Amino acid sequence: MILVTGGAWQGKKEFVCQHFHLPQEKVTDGRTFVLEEKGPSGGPAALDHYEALVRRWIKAGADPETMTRRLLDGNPEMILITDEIGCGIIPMDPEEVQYREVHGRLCCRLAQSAGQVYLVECGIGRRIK
Amino acid sequence: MFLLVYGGSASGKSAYAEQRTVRLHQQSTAGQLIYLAAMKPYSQAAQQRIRRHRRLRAGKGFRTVERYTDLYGLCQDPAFARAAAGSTILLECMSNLTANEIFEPEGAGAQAADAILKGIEALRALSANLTAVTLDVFGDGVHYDESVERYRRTLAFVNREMAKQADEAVRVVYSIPVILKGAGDGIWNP
Repeated sequence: MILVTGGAWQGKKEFVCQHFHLPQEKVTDGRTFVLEEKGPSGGPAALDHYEALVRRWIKAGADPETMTRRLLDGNPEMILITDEIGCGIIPMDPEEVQYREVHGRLCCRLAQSAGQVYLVECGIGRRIK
Repeated sequence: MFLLVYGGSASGKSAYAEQRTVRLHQQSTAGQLIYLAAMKPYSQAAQQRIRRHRRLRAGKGFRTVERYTDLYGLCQDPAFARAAAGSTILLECMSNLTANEIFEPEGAGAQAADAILKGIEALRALSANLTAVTLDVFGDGVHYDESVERYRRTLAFVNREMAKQADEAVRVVYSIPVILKGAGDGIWNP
């Protein structure tokens, strides 16, 4: 698994497509991805907006860690793209705080197990692991 | 050695800072290993965070000192000064200390930044190694009211001043250290 992160609108998806020679159609979107699906099969390549998927899982009452494991079990070579969230004032809404916590801790574990981690800023991707 | 560890919420910065601090302590010849906690257990969420951090630290040999404001004053306390002489200190978190200095009645108020930096200077003078953990609250693109902006401005100023003095500054991105200044020591580095 490869983890790609960075702030919103930094060109993470474009970086992934270019760096890993991937057509855009191979990148699944976590905002619209059908939750029941195991994940696109046959070399799914990449999933964008993992942060949105985590939010959707929480909302649906699913455990994001279990769901992530299930997603990656079928697609161990997947490239996960996620906004780097948590770099702001701690929200007043406890559910928002919880979302940041769950997403952040999950991403820490994903980064630890990832073969490669990239940080994309201003469209420029740097390999940080 | 003065190490500054920077990162967002739930970025893994505490775990990284602990590892580095424990290693700095192992490398230094003498002195205690001190965890200087600035978070006031005022809410249930804060208590939960504190419990989580205690679990993370358990068994690593830290002696915990709680202090919510006036680190300079703490350093003037003979008992603390004795304990901290030649020690390795992990100070967490500058975001809490800054909030306390600005918003708490016993805080330094308008002089918050000066008070904090004076405290850092005093801690550095006493200790052999200091790690300061600080928070990135600058990237959400939201405009807040004046009291929050004052907090952000103060914390950002404190961060910049600490980074100037630091031997090493590291931003932690989901547990991965990204070196901003200095060499890093190779922990978790690719």
